[in-house]
Amino acid sequence: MRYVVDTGALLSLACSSYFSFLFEEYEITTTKEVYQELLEFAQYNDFLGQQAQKILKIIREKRLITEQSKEMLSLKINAAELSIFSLGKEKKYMIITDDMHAARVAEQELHLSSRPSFYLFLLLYKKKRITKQQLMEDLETITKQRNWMTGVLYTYVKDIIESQK
Amino acid sequence: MVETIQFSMRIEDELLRKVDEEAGKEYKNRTELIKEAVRSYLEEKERKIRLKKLAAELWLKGELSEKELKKALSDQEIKDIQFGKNWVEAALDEIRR
Repeated sequence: MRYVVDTGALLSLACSSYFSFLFEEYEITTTKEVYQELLEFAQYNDFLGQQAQKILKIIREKRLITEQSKEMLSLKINAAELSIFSLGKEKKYMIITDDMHAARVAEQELHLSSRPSFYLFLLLYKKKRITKQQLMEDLETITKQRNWMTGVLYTYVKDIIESQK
Repeated sequence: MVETIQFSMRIEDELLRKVDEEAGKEYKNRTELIKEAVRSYLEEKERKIRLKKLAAELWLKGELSEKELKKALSDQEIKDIQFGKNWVEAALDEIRR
């Protein structure tokens, strides 16, 4: 399975201590539009800017590749989101995004499913590559660092996992 | 000392005059006044976002009704959060299988 990941999800994943490890475990791709957004983030030397610089380094090392779809879908979501949904649909890649709005619009209008970024961490945990404690620490870090909607989403996941034995 | 970045901006005469007048009253220069106004604007936005986040988290825990949620979030945000709840649960179920 190959995963196509958008800017927000890459930034969430980059907050993790196991970010680099993800590229050893999974085949991950992104798009030119996402790359452009990352360049914009990387202009600032704050926390998210530093995460963007980390992702750009992985792109330069060709561990994260960029691909383009032949055609763009018609959906009212931003260009970078549209590019990952278009590529995911065309190449049958699993779409990873933390943008609940884009995920909802794509599912309701085109029946295109996607997964939130924590899905990749949960897979690592399921494959016993990381411990539950490491998983929870990562979820906690991402909850604190990302925008409010992504934060809500990660808090919800964390609460569900914590409530399970 | 915090590193700062210099940039230029265009501003209408009348607004700049008001900035300078206000800065004068408060014994500040225009840069200080503009920085303070931006900080205050961002703090207010962050306060509203904290409320939205809290409302959404309480709704997800079943501790806030949809009627109450509507007071804090826009219709589109409510649709997104409602979708997000099912989306997260579906992803967790998929992993458990």
